[in-house]
Amino acid sequence: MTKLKSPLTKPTAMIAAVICLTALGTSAHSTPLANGKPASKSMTDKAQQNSWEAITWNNGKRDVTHWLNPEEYAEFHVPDSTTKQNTSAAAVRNTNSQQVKTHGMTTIWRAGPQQVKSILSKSPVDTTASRVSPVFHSSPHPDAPRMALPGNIIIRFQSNMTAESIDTWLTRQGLRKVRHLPGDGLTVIIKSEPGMATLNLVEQLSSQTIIDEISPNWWSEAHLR
Amino acid sequence: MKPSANYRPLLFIVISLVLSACENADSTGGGSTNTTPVADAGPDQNVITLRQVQLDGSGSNDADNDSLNYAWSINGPTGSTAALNDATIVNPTFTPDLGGSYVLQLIVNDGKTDSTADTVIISVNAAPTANAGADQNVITLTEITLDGSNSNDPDNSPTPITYHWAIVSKPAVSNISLNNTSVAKPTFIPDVDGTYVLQLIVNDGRIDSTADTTTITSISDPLYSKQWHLKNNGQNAGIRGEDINVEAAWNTEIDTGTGTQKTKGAGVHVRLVDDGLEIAHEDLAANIATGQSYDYCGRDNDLANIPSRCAGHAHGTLVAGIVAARDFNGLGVRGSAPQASIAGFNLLFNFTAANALDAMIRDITTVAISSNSWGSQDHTGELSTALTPRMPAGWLNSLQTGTTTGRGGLGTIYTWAAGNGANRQLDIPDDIDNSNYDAFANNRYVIAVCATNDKGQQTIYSENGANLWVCAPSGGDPESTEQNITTTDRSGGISGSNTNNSRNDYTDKNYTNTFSGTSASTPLTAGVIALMLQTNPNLGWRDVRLILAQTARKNDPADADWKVTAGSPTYNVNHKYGFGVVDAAAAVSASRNWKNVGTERTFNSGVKTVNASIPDNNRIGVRDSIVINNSMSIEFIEITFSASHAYHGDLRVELISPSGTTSILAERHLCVYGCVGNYDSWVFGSARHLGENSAGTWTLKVSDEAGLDIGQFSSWGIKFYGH
Repeated sequence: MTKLKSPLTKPTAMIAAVICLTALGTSAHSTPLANGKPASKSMTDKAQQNSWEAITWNNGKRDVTHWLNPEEYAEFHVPDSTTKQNTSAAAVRNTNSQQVKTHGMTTIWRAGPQQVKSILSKSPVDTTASRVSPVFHSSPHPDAPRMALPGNIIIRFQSNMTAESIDTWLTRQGLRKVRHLPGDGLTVIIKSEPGMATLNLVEQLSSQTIIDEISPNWWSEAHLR
Repeated sequence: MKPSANYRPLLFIVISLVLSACENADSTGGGSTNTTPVADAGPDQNVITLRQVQLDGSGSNDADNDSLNYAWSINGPTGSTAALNDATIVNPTFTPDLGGSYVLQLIVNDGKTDSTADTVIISVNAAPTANAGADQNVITLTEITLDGSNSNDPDNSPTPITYHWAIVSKPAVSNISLNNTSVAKPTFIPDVDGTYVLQLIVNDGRIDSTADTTTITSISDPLYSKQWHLKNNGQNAGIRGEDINVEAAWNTEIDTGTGTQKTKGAGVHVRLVDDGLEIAHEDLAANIATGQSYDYCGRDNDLANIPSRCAGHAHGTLVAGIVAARDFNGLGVRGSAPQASIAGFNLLFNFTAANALDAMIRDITTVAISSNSWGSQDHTGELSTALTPRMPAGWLNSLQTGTTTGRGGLGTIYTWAAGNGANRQLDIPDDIDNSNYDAFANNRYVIAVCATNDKGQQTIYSENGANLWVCAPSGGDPESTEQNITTTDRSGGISGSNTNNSRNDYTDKNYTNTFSGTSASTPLTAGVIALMLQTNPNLGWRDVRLILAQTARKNDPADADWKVTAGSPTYNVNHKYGFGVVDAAAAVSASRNWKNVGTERTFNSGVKTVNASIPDNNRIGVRDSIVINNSMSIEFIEITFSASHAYHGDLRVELISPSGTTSILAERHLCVYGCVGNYDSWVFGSARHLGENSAGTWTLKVSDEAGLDIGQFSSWGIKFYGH
């Protein structure tokens, strides 16, 4: 399972936190700073004040750590197959969440920690509604890139495996294959539920010797250049 | 008294004689006779309309030498309003206004009696009128037809009109000629942009018309002159020649077996992995590969009908114009490969690991070039990928799949924006990002593209990196006069870069002059590669890399970082510029007869444990060496490095080759988010040892160049790729 680690603190002498334009909704090369100067100490203090939970998982080769933002969640919209209009989960519609940002098929919402927990605990009613996931950061900093788990896992199998032996193993494990990626057939996407269920499954599978590397199907903020 | 009857016969005779004499002479009172004058209206004339005719009545005479009075009258063709200037003089004039016969009558009078009338016939030939046709705005290199058919000859005589066209003026470098100068509708092909003035004179067998002219304004792409990145003439304070030298490449003819074609990228397919693409854009539509785009929001190939959440695609439309805006269509701009086919993948609107993997290899067999103007978040200083601190499982395998199965097994070429995170505009002592901190841009499967400005120097944002392969022009410092890139934009000014509220941008809202970043340099390079692949479709993906390196131009030659590699052939190389700025003409030329390199060889040293403390705040640092006995000509090196350090931004990491060539893999820098995570088997890439021999002693130097935080150099290894 996930392991809890202490929030990272940073040395003060070299701190120069700056506000980055995540490319959510922005384009091309953008001036990176809000005012052309390193950000104020207060922003750093804010990061330090966060007592975010460190979530560590293993990708088959080494541990990887992310930080869980307790006050945000991600909503993944699912377009209707015919109208391409988006539907939204009742769990999201019925809250007083504040929209942090939206880009493409994903919206980040902010709410109180208890409300976030409540929303994340409810499973989507059906597959045509949007899905929700906790929001993670790659660093314990409120402006660090956000990530979330829309569901599914990517597994790279050892080179002695074949597509057939992989399928056999997946069946034995009760795992549902989404598809093999083109190429040598050793990279497979398997089904998993959105949110922590994905990380839990990754953690379960990462020690399997036939797996070379495994990672959740992370959603991340996009960064155009 | 009455005469007597006896004298009556004699009286009759006398009277008869007197009367007879009176019939031959006017009574002058003096008893002398007057001779009737004779009118002479002069010889008949053949003249033309609208030219003055002078009559000549001077041949009239009077035997008595009495002075004569002249009385002319004119009778012209129906409708004529021609009139004599003076009908009472000997040489009156008139101007025939219509063709036909003018009969002029002259009667002279000697003061006593009128002459008999004399007439002269002036036969008037109507002058033909030339009509060279309306002025035209046309597209360069497109044949146009002149139209002199509205020229006319009112009397259609004496012969049908003939045509005589001539070129009055043309652009200085033009070599045009008319296909036939003596027909009503000749044709020609404007060969360069500019103004052409052509003259027409017609002749009716007797006389030329007045000349008429028509002005042909020819333009290929209206904003082409603004595209300094394609042709830098020094416009707007740029430096002439600081471009990709592509015009000569375009003009290179390729033998297709059934003829020749210019090198414009035709037949080469470029995939743009971005935030979408306006496939109906007027200047892109002709090059869109139908059905080959992909919508990651709606999960189909229909980019024309995407969910409203993903309808932005502004960036992708900017990128698309740089690589393949159609040329010579009279619209907007021109791409570096203006006839390549393009498709858009809007990955960035639904950016998941699985989608990113998919975008690299979906239907890859038909994709020649995958152009990627995205990557990890810039301006952070963190070791990162766009997805996690680690690449998703299978990432490099997917790129390997593309380079081994793409393009019929010759390999898809991946171009990648090297990064905009240098942050040189900040008042801080170090650059923040180095392209080698981005695992998307520093691996061997991609061509990492950096950016130069309109003066050929590193742009303020373009990241350094030992992994850089080539640079290409892009927009500069927004606080300076450095120009940005002109390209296509979302149509209509509603969204995109050039909106209806934009200032200092084009009035045509389908285009913008604001694009910048390594995002622009990357598709520019992709376009050049398309020209190379059209020239030689058999080039492998590694061959393309080698050609680009060999033919790149050494820009900013005074920069101190330029070094010459130690191998054979040698290359100029620079941490700011890779092997230099892409030179399209040179690359196309080298592609033509290129002999592909052989099978790729690899050698992996394995990981060597070091476990040495790194002296804090000490530039001497710690070194470790690995001796390589395997000999190959290096194409790329991967350096796997591990060090535990509380703030990895303090570390400078350098690789020194047996011949002394140095690759700076990491520099002291700031981290925005705290330099989270160690160098835990981080893989750096280096292009700087291209052509060197792998055999010998390789040294890694690690130094901690800032105080407070300390750490340990744990291990390293080196893997060579070459031939």
